[in-house]
Amino acid sequence: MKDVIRVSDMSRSNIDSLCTLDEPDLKPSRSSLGSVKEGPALTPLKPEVIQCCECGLDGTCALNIARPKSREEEDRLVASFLSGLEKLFTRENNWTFLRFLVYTMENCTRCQSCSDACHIYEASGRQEIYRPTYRTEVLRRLYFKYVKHGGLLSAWQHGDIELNWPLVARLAELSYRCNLCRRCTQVCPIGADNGLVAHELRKIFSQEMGIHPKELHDKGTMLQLKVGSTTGMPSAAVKDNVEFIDEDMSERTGLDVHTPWDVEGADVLLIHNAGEILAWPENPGAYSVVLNAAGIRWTLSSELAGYDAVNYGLWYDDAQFTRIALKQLDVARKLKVKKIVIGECGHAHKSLLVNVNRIAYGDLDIPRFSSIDLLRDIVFSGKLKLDPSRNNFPVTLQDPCAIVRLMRIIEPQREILRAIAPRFREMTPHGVDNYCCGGGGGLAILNANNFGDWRSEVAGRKKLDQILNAFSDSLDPSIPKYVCAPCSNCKGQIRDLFAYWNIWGRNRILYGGLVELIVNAMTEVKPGFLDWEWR
Amino acid sequence: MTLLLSIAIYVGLGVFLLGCLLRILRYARTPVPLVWDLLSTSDDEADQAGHRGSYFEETNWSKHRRHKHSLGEIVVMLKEIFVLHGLWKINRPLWRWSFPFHTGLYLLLAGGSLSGLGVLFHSYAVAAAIFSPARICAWIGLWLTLFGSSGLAWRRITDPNLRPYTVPGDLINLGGFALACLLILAGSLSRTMPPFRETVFALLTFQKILHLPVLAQTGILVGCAMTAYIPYTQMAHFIAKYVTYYMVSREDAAMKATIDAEMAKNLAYHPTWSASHIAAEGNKSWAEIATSNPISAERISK
Repeated sequence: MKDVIRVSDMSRSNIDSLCTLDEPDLKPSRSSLGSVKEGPALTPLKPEVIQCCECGLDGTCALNIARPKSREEEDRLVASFLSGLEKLFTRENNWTFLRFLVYTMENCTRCQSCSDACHIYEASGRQEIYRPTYRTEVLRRLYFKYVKHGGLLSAWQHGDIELNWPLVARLAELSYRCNLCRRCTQVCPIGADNGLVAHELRKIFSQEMGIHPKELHDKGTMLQLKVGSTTGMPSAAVKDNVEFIDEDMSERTGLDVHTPWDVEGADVLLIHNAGEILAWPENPGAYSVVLNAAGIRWTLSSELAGYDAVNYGLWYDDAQFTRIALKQLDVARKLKVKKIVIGECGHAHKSLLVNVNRIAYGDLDIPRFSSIDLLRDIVFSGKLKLDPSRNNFPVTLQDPCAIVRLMRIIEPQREILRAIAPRFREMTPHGVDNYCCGGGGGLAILNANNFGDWRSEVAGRKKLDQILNAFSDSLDPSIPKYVCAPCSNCKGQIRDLFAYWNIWGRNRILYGGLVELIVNAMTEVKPGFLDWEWR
Repeated sequence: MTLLLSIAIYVGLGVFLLGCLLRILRYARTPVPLVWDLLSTSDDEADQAGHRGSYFEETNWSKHRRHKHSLGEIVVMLKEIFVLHGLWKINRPLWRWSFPFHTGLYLLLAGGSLSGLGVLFHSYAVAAAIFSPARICAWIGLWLTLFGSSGLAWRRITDPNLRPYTVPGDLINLGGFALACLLILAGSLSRTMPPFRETVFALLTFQKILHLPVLAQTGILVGCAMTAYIPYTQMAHFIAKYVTYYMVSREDAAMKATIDAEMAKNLAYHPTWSASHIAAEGNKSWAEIATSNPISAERISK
């Protein structure tokens, strides 16, 4: 029988993890996932990491927060957290999300209806710390105690909590055990937003204390603001890479593939997640094939931030988010394009089509659309000759949370798949009820210590189960299968998940984008565009 | 004593209304936020097609006039208000108690409102037709509220999912409702309990001549205290749910001019975040920070 972890345990002063993730507790079991994997769920943290970093939450460590060397340093950090907490509830510092946050703090009835909606909570064997309301309850108690300055009466009404450094350090890690998929928010009877709470906690740590995952900040937003892309590719390197992709595409398709750059006044400025160019070059290549074949007057931009739709700021820092989003819009304004189309990247959709809306006014309010809609229109325009029999293998669809649950772009990708993939089948559940891949909220790119294990064993476990179930009639490795994931973040997570569980070797399931399937079905393209090789 | 009860009823109602108003104003006065909420589609045309999609599914959606379906929106709200549809779908064990509890409160509200109306028309024949359903609403409402609040309190104590998150305030809140209903019901069973119409008329018009059983008197006082107390607790979630949450989900286009003005105000705020990459320096506005590049101020670690 496991010890019950209480909210007050976050303040426990010993350095031991609040919980351990034991394989038998994780759901579904390894055997029902068809795996013969043995050993513990997570590779144990190295002793030197445990010694020097704050890893007191759950046996993994995403942030590598250095352990304070003295009591004075601890006190200073706690004071810094408290200062950030107070700022989070002021309009000057947090006009961006204050309304939703206060609403969630003051109205949740703690009915726990959201718990079963969370794939992390479920896959972990219902570890209390992963319950969507757990971190919210910690923040709520801190809010009423330190922001509203509630006394005994408040403690009686809202619960009490002790604020100390172990709590702050654990809370920082806990804010990165949420995919921000907001499935919990979707089911909340009163609309309280526990996903937002994780986001807001991350902001205290980043905007006040300078604590953030290196992958999101130093190698993410800061790098993008420095060189133009989180990949580290400056403009010249991107152009070189795309030129190489054009050559490769021309060879593979038998068509003359050319990607236009910086065309002033173009109808469409297409912005890819630049990670595609390095990790899945066939995706931007396939876009060039399709847009050219459809006769669209389009362009890519080589300006700073104009060739990378990524905006990691969305997940942890409002200042970084607005800086990048405004730069991306400014690129389009300077190019005088008629509209911006976002490539297959979920969080970029959310960032540029939804979150930036209210600050993108004046000449920055350039029409912005999803590439999925554009692809649907092209496929059904009759401009491409398509042979669905070229895609005669089992295909299932991953619904990226940002695109599907949060923006409700649900049907266009399905219309395409029903038209070009005769053996398309849905996951269960799907659409707005679908589960996150396990990489949402920036987690797909976090790899410190054994965090990759956590992503595959816990955060992605539900998704793997869904995928295997979708292909349950064809798991035999002699049958090639395709997970269509129109989102770079999902693809990154699914790649890691498949590698971890040996899904390609065991079941021959490949993953990729949506546009690749369209090109694979184009009759004017040489057969066999999909090469069925693991990458 | 009845004079005290009359005063308690009006004070309770007044404090309740004032508390609700203050809460609504407090939420309404929070700055217009960035768009973050889950897209509300109950009023969207695409949603009417049955797959829950939004206008983002249309190419060039910004150029098209959006077709709103107010009926769909109203149906969703009514289902949520009166049958707690969301809870019924996702948390049936809790709904079994929450539904009678909320329905009981609605019936008490209806009974109270009808009673007020009955008092206004007291000297007319129609009053009898008003007091009769008011009595039924109040009677059923008391039983349902007692049943629901007791059940919810019991679940909060026994359910392992709820127990760790239950604070004394939760039990006192639910217990307060249960106690008020129990006392009034017990009092109303007494032989000395005057008829409903006479009681209500006396209480709402400050008549001193009424003699109520002590249990009923105590129950009414507890009920008044609970009514006054609701807006200052999370029990006021109905305000946020049906007013604020709905407001923030509204279509931006309908309020574009207002939002642009609010955004200009927001961007003029001077944040004081301390992390070096924000480079707030105490004197920069959000607009200046959003259009600056922090890269010169911070070393990139690779």
